[in-house]
This record gives sequence, C-alpha cells and structure tokens, in this order.
Amino acid sequence: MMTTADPNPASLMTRLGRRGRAAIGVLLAAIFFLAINIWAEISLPNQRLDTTAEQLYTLTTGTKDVLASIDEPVTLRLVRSRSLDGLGPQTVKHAQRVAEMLDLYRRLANGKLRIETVNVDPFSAAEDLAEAARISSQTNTAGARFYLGLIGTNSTDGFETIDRLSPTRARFLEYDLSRLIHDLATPRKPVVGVLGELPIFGDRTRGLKAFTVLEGIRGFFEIRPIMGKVSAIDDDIDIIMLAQAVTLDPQTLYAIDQFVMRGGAILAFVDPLSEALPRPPDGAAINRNAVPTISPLLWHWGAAVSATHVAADRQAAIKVSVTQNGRQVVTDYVAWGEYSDRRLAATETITGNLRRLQLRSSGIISATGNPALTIHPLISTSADSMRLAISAIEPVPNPIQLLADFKATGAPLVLAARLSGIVTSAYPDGPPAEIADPQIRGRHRATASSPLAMVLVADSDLLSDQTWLETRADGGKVPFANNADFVINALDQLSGGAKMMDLRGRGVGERRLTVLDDRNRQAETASRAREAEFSQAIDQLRSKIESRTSSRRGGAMSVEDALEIETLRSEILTLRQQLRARQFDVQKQVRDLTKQIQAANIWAVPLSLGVILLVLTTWRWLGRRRALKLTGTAVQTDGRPV
Amino acid sequence: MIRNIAIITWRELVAYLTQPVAYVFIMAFTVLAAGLTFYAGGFLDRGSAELSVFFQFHPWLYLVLMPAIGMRLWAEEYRGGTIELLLTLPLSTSHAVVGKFLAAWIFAALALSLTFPIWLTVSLLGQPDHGVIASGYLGSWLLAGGFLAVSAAASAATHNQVIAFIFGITLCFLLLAGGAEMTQSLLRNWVDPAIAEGLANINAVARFRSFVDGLIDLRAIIFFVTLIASGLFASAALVRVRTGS
Repeated sequence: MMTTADPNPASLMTRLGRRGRAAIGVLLAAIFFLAINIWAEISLPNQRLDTTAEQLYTLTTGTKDVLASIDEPVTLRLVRSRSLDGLGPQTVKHAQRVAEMLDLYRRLANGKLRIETVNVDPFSAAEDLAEAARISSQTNTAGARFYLGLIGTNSTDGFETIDRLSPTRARFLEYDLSRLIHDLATPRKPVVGVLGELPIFGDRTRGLKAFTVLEGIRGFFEIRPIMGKVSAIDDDIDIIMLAQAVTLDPQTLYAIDQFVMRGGAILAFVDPLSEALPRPPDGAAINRNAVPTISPLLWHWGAAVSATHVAADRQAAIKVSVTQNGRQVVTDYVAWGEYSDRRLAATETITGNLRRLQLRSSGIISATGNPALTIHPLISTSADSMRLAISAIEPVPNPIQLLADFKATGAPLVLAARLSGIVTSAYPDGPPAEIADPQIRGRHRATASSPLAMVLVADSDLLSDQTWLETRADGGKVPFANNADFVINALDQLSGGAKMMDLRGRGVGERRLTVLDDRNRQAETASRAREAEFSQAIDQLRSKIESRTSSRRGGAMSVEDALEIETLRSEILTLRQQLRARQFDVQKQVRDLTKQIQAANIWAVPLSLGVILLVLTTWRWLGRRRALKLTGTAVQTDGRPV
Repeated sequence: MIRNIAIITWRELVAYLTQPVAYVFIMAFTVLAAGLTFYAGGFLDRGSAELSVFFQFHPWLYLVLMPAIGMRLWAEEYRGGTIELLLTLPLSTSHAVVGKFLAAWIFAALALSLTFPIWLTVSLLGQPDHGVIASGYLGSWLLAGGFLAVSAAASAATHNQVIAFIFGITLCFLLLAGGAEMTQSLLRNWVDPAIAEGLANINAVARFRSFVDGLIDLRAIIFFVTLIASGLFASAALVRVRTGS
C-alpha cells in the first residue's frame, strides 16, 4: 500500500512537538553558520582592508612593476611538506600566507606567471625534486622538520630558487618573491663597474691581496674594473661601485652623473678618512679623503658626507689595546664602531637580516635640503655619539684622551643610507667643457629617467678584511661581522633598479616603547659612568696598597704601613658599597616608572568605577531614606523601612 | 521594529548600569585584561609599542566573561517569571532577542572601551600604529558579540543560570578549540590536509588574529556576523519553545 507525504507542513511541525522544533531551529542555525563560512573560505577572494600605517599587507608598486614587466612566462613551484602536522600555528600561518601571496602575484601578472604546488611526502619523488633543487628542510621551534621553498623557471632554462621560505624572514617575503621573479624575467647576470683607489682587486707589485668581499660579489655579479679617464659608462653596466674614489677627473664625474640620469644604480663608499688605503712604500702622506671628489654630485642631488669630521659612538666603540705610561691598557676607541641591533635599520632589506657591522672612522651623512631626495638611514650611531674632528685622530689617535673628552650630542648620526627620489643632473647647462665628443654631448640628459637608486656609505674600511674577517691559525678565514653580506645585499637590491629599491622589508615588531628604551639606556649609561668613576678611585687605592706593599717587600712592614693598608682596604670596601647603592638607585628609577605604569593601567579604571559605584549607592540610599521620611515611615540605618 | 528593539535595548542597558554587579564585572574585566598583559604577557619587558600581547588574552577572558553576561539574559527571565510579562508587551520574540543581545553587546563594548589606558600608555611611551590597534579593538568587540550570541542561546535553553553559564563556556570553548594545534592535527587525520587547513581558519582565534594583525578580512567579518546571527536565531527558536509563543 502506498503512502503519500503529508501535504500540510503545519501538522508535521505540530507532530514534531515544541522540543523538536527547537532542535531543528538550533540545527539550522549551526548548518547556516558552517555552510556560509565554508563557502566564504573556498569561494570568496582575499578581500582585506589593510589598516597598518605602512601598508604591510598591500603589495608595493615595485612588485606591481616587476609583475607587469614579465615578457616570457615564468613558472613558480611552491615546494612544501604535504602535512604541516605538528609544526605549530606560526609555520602553518606562514605557509598559508606564502600561498595567498603567490595567488595574488598570479592574478596581477596578466597570465605570465604560473603557480604550481609540489606536495612533499617523506621518501617520495617530490622529495627528490626538492633535494635536487637544493630546497632545504627547515626545523621549527618545536624541532619538527618540514619543506617550504620555491623553485622558479623561465622559458630560457633560467632556474632560481628560494631554498627556504622561513617564518623568520616573513617580513621580507614580498621582497624575496619579487626578487626571484625579477631575476627570472631578466636573466642576465648584473654587471658591476668598480672604480676607486681602494685596492680591492689587490696589487701584486705591492704584495696586496684582493679583498675577500670580492669573492662573495663574484658569486652573483659580473665585476668589471673601470680604469683611467672615462667619458661615458658602458651601457651594459648596471651598477657603479665607487670604492673610495679619491681622485676623479671631470670627465669621469660627468660620466657618473649621466649614468645615474639614464637610470643606473650606484653604490658609493665615500670615506673622509680611509684607513684601508695603503701608505706608499716610502711612507709619504697620501690623500685618504674621497669626500671632496664626489661632493659636487652628492650636493646637487641632496646629500652630503662630512669631509672634516668622523662619527664617534661611545656605545658602539671597539676595544683596542694602547700603551699608557709604559703599560698595555685595553680601552674603548670611539672612532671605530661595531653596529648591531637597533643601529641597523630593521625594515630595510639591505640591513634587516644582518647581525653586526664594523666600521672605522666613518664619515657622517646629512641632507642638504633637496626636498626631492629621501634619505633612508641604513646604519646609524646611538644618541651617545659625537662628531669628531679628523685632526683629533690623525696621524696617531689617543683613544684614552678621546674617551675622556667625549661629549655626546644626543642625536644619532647616519653612517650609511639608501637614497631615493627623482634627481636632476649636476650639469644643468650641459656637459663640462672637457667633454669634446659631440656624440656624448648630444646624449646629455638633464633629468633622471627613473627614481634614483643609490646606497651611500660614509666608510670604505668596512670593505677591507680587517674589519670583518678573522684569520685562524690554520689560515682559514672566519667572519665576525656581516660587512660582506651588507655589500652583497646592497648590490642585490640595487641591481633591481628603482623597482626593487622600493621593496623595503616591511616588518612587524619595529615600533618600540621609545620613552622606556631611552630611560633604560640613560640608566645604563649613568650606571656605567658611575662604575668608571668608582673604578678609577678604587684603582688608585689599590695602587697605593701595591706601592706600600712593594716598598716593604723582603723586609718587615711597619705598624703605620699596616694600619694605612687596612684603612685603604676599608675605603675600597666603602667605595664598592657606595657604587652598588648608586647603581641600585639608578635602576630603581626605571623600576619605579614601570611600576607606576603598571599600577595606572591595572587599577586606575577599577578604582574610578569603585568610587562611582560608592557615590551611586550612597545617593540612592539617601534618596530612599529621604522619601521614606517624607512619608513618615521609620527607617533603619540602611534606609529600609522598619 | 527598530523602535521596539531600541526600547528593549534601552530597558536592558539601564538595568545593567543600575546593578552593582555590572560594575564589579567591568572592574574584573579591566583588572584581568591589564594584569595579564603586564604580568603574564611581560608587556613592558618586551618594550614593543604593539598591543598584540594585550589582545592575545581576550579570547580566553571572553570565554569566561561573556557566558557570565549571557547567562542571565533569558534564564533569569524564566526563573523570575518576568518572561511572561515581557512577552505580553506588543513586540515579537525576535525583537526581544535582538534587543537583549544588543544591550549586552553595548555593555561589553563599554567594558572594552574602559581598557583605554593601555592605548594611552603606548601612545605616550612610543609611536604605535593606531590603525592596527583600532582594528584589534574592532575584532575584540566582534569576538565578544559572537560569544555573547552563543551564550544567549545557551541561556535561552535553560532556566538555570549556572547550567546556562557552563553550557555557554562549553560552546565558546568549541569555537576557540577549532584553532588549537591539537584540533587541527586531529582534523588532518580525518580529511585531506588542504581541506583541514581551510577548516582551520574557520575558528574564532584565527579570525580574531587577523584583526589584531591589522587586517580586516571580509571572511572574518562574515564569520562573526554569521556567528551572531546563528546565535540569535537559535535563541529565538529556544525562547519560543520555552514560552510556547
């Protein structure tokens, strides 16, 4: 016998009962919630409003230009472990961000970019592919291993990889991806033209070895020395590296200006006092100042390097051994500096992943007031620094005296910077008279064809091996500073021209509680100053004890001497106690400030609310009491009627 | 309709603000939010002018505090018998549900806004990214709304406030647990890893996190809006059953 469905839904709902209807309602609500969200996750495009001041999650125009400039198709293979099981939310989130960003790149590349995902399982063919492409397995903080890398290929067998897309480099993700695509879209190895007096290629006649930094550069760039007078820079040179060009004739200077006007990039080491320039064998004095030579161009573009002063930073000072009163003493030499942490711009791709750099008697970069030029500091001193006249350290410096005479100006000094902006030629009226070639005169450009791509470093010594390499007993060289990485990073970014220069590493975590940092630093400086002051006094007392003891060596000590030594020792103890007390006082100021901040944040609102609550309760109680009294009702102490 | 909802919202809001327990609630919330930030989060030791440390505790604070607000929304009305009086008024169950929820949500906004000293602190001691902080506050308020809607549904299911509270905490915990590594790991064992990764995003922590990072994601907005809508729909269904309306 056949049955028919109940035509009346109302009767069905009645039969279900109230509980059944409620259950269906709740179930429908849950299904609606899940269905909409799964649909949104799968189907909706990545529509996001970026509220960060630096637009951290929005692609820069540099990336868009790189993607628009792809002529031949580029394929990117995202190599990742199939299972990110056990890797922690940070890694999983980073892997998702990489995938999302690649998808965004694909959509902006007008069909010229293909994205494939290679899921790697243990002992699979995909793992062999990853290993062959030198994609390294990474280990997360919990110790779990995984693959997350990128293989890029172009139509001419060009092959580039990012061996690890690490969460620790998350803020440089856009730069890394755009760099790889840029290299595949323009497969030629960039050419770096080097000119200047610094003997980075070595000098056999004088027994000078080539600088080790050159080996690193050769891995990524073709290096071409530029010698003698140059009236025009070759068109196939991408970057000019000025390595302490102390003497530049007018033709070469003009050629550099025009190279920049045609969109060429420039990495300039302009040092007012190059310690790496070798002295002639006869010991004669040489010009070691490269600032006056290049200044006409720099000034016109809007930047300057101090010609008569170098930067001195008490916090970054390197310890040196000097002889004082016939004794070897180790002291801080303020003209030499080791710069790390906050002294290196965290948001710049060039310095963002570097740990420390060593510079020697570096010049100071400043702006000359051209509003078109922007100076982005890369290396800066701390606020505990000063401008030091070159005459104070030449010919032989006295580090102890320099330290004693040190007077901090309270403002950081810029030692290296990235320069950007549209600049004009330093030769607005055409080529100088020295240029006779009509072809060169005819090619004169008065304004730059693209924004300036320049990195200016007011030190040249950072290129020499002494500032970053340590030679071990077995002859092996071990770096102790990232000077070579800095140079390669700078060339790497410059080789992309202005497009890549715009692509700064934009990072999270750089905004600091500066007031608190400054207080901590001041306390530390004050604490150190007191320590030095007391240490000097203690040293004096110790030498007095020493002299008393040594004068009586071999003989019996008089009672007076013994008493005096005892007095001196107790003075030392008193001084040490005073030092500890003073240091405690200094630190206490910072601790008190943090306690006040904590107390204000935790208790200000609740206490205010408590007062409001008390006032409200009292007011209501009084109101009730008054109302009952008016009606003639006896009231209890709490305002209620008896 | 809007007038009815506004009347209910106002009535409820006035009721909140005239009860000492509401002030105690706000005091507890502000003390816990700031205390966890400074002590458990080591806010000043980090020296960062970001409020991500402050916001990271909000899901866990709301896990307890939103069911505490939500538990009385309906359970108290059932127990005191005032539900009958409420429903004799010329308004529908849906109006009452939305009105009561809005009052609770505005009250939560008031509690959240009273954490302003932390924003003031980072502004005085550094140069924070105000856009990111505003986005974090918006995310926190939406999260509070989602948890409140779910807690309101839990309250509508029972006349016992304690049971409503425990039920509310359980539901909110489920919304949080979706983002936990353990849950995601379990999920990956059952479904394809790509689907598991997609599903991993459909949880309150992941959606809230994007606001804290300074990203207002359309999918995160949809998540919280649908969560609130579903919670209110379920509440209305349960209230109708309880009252026979």
